[in-house]
Amino acid sequence: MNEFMKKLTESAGVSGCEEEVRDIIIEEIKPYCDTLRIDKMGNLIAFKRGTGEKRKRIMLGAHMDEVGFMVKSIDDNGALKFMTAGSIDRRVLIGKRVLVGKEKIPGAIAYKAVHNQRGEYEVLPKVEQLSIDIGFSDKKEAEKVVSAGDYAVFATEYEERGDIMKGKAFDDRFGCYAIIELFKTKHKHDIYGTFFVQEEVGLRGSAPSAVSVNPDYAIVLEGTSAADMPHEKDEADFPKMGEGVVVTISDRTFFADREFLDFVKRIGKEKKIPFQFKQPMIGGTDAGMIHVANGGIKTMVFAVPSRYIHSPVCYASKRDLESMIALAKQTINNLK
Amino acid sequence: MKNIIRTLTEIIGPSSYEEIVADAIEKMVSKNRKLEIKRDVMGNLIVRRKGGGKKIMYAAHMDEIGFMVKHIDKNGYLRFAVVGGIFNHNVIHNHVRFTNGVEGVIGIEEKTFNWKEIPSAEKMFIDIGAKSRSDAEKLVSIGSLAGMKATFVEMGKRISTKTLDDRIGCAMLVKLALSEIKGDNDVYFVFTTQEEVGLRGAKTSSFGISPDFAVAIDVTDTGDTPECHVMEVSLGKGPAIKVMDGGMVVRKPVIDFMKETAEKNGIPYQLEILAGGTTDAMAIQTTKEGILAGVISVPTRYIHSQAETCDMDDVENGVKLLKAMAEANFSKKVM
Amino acid sequence: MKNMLETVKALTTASGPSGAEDSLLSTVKNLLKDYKVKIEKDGLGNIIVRKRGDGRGLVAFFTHNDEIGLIVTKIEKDYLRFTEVGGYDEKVLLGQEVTVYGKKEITGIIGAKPPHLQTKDEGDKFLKFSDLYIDVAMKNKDILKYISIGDRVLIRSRFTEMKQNSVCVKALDNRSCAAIALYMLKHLENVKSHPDIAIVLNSQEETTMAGSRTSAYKLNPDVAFVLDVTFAKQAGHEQGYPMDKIGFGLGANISRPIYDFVKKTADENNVPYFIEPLPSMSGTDAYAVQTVGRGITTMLISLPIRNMHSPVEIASTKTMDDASKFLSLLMSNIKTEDFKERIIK
Repeated sequence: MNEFMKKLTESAGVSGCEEEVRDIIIEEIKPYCDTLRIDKMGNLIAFKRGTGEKRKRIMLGAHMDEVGFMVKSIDDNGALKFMTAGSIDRRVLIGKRVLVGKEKIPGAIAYKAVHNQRGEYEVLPKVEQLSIDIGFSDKKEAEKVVSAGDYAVFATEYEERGDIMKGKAFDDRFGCYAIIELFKTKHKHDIYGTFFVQEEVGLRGSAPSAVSVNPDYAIVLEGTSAADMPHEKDEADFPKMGEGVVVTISDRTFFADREFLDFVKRIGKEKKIPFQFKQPMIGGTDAGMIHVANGGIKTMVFAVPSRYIHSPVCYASKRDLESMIALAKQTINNLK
Repeated sequence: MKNIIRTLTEIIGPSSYEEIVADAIEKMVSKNRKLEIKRDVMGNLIVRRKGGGKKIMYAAHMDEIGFMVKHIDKNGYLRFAVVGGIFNHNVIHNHVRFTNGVEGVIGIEEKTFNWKEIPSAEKMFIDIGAKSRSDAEKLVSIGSLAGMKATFVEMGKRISTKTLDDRIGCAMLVKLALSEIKGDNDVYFVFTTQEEVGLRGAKTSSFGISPDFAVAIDVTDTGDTPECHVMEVSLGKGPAIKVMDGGMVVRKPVIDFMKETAEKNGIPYQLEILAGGTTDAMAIQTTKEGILAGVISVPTRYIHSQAETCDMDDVENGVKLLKAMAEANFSKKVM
Repeated sequence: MKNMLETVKALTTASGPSGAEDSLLSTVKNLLKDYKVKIEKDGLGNIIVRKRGDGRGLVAFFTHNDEIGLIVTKIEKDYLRFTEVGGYDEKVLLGQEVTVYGKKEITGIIGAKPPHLQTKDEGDKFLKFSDLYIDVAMKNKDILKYISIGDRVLIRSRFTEMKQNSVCVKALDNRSCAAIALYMLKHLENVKSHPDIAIVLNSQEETTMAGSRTSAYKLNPDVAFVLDVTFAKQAGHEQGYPMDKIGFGLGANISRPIYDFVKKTADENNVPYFIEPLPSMSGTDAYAVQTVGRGITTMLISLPIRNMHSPVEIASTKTMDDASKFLSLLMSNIKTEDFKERIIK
């Protein structure tokens, strides 16, 4: 069992409250970097000097935050009314376990029993109608332990079965993990490991980091949706788990530079790294903010295909994660 | 001028694939040996008429809305995603043309088609006449880009064709770049990329140039067709000076400067308030410390269709107005 | 600035719709005529008030200056057609008295077809911009002399004092917060040492946030405080906040270190407040300011008001006064060095 992956994915880091994740990353990456700082937004920026002569500045980006919840108020029954941070499919909420606050108080997202839903069974409740139950029946008692503004995450545990990983926040702890792995080896060029905050609430940490790092190239390392259930219609596919690192041609925020994309395709083929393409014009990543920062930055997005991202539990393949790290490494080493 | 417009509007250059447009424009403007020409990381074409005075940036975008192939099915039909603000009702059974010259037709899934509703892109496909997937793969691939195929119609002073948005702006800047601009201003003609998908080229080019004053040249809607939305802009009444649109409120000193320049030079103009939509000026205005920015618009009917229609008088007057502004002496009093 | 009431009155009764906020400059200069400050206006319409401090860092306050308004889109015979600049509730419009800011100020009424000429169910639906007209009681040839497309229109709203220290007027969003920030300067006269301060009455928040973004870039402050209004508890909005307290925003647009400092200062000095959970988007300039340049340490302080975006917004001048006092306390205690980038290695 990869104990570090367990610690990293189980840590709580909802957008706006990434400190716990950041501390774990700092402890792990510190021995391998030359400088390490936290900027005013809370982004973590690590630097490792390259061994080559004409060194380029390469920014490796991943976001530390995950989708989660914030307590809005405590109702008279001692239950917590909450809001979502980042986009979570409303349909995955009911009946799931969460952990509330820094103390990680166990809770559950509650809704009344199915027996009492006569006439309303078909109606999907809005977030405002749900609450997090931490066991209290009394508002005053609950207020001693929780307050408005506390964050909550899904209580999913990390497990492995052969090549398959199960856990939460693969989007984007995988990217953070990959950067740390890349820092453990030497490279020709200077690399900047930038761990962003607030990606899930608007790609907010990435542009300020790109402004201060001012790289020549940027590689964003992500977790992306895999959807490989069988479907009848002969239509565009989502990436498939196990078939390699996902490379972005375009999404709603960004078009990959065609020359850079051809270069990556060549490297992937030459070095026999399995890769696949993301369906064009869907979703968005920090690349959207980075590539138009300063006077324009050539950017690439590599992602690990994970089933059920933005929900309590995901699956992914270790081989795909290794492919992402390998493709990033080879891209860095072959850039001139 | 019509030839420049015709040549430029014909080219297929959807957002992210503007090179062919940029090459054509570069060929046209290099006739003026005094210009400095370069491209930046995002593919923006930056043409500079050097001067010692204030920096003026004129921006027109080269990209058009279009379609990107996302899947080739086993019978050789292409499934696509839209690039930019495509109106689905404008593309059914249209001819399209890829950047590499391959042509096709947009068809719709008949089984689920309800004549009352506009089908989504998921329910459409492109037919390029291929008989199988391998047949199609010889012609296109995932990521290939297409635009609407051009036809050029003349109705008296009016011209009607695809992509007046914003090749008409590009044509106007080409005309200006080839002319003799008096005065000492440092004038940048910037042909931007990826406007239709989020003003992306404008962000990086204005960051690099940091002008003192910027004007976007783009199209705007009109209020002169039967039972249309309330808008006081009509074809033939002159270029429009933008007051406000969906993304930007233009500062009064800028509007006043444009009005006064037009009046001083006997150029007709209209004032424009556009309900939805915006231009590169919005991105330029919020660059760094902020840049004083405005927009000169060409009134255009049927925007984002194959038959965008404008009036050549508005275009010529627009060029005149832009030239007069570029020659203005930007002392503190002006703005 | 005699007192908070006078300050709020002066600011809210001035006219400054989004994109045309410049007229506030003279009001601000007048309010601050006895204070040692530098006041300037920039190209994007931001009004910036600067007070020198002890030179140890810069704290900037962003209180957006623009109010929602209307704009003339077409002159149709003897009537004006119009649309909004900023988010209006169209339900408030029919029957309002307005002022049109053309070559001179002209009063008018927002009207539509009379009720007895409407069909039966038209009476239940409310009228949208496309159904409404502004009637200035003038003939077309006279209208054209004074009014043109793009002229701004504001709803006439008297400044009214109400019970329990409340006031009712337009533009409490966000001139009430501008008043809080400016009135802080009065309390600062009693403070021995504070950082350099800039108060930005920034433009265009209601439309594009262009003003805060660009002025934040220019000033590059060590700490930014965004002051904006939020929703007070009222009928139909039980989850709103109490009008007698200020709110501390918590969430993505707010930087945790400055939030902790503000909360600690309030707790230590028994200052009443509520926490405003904002996990994603705050809907305020904090969203824009925090990601400017290399990132700016940003805090959001909110004033609850009722009936937001109507001509009858209501808020408490006592809460505004308390807020000013608290801000000056923060300025006397704050050390901007505590909010810089942290070097670990």
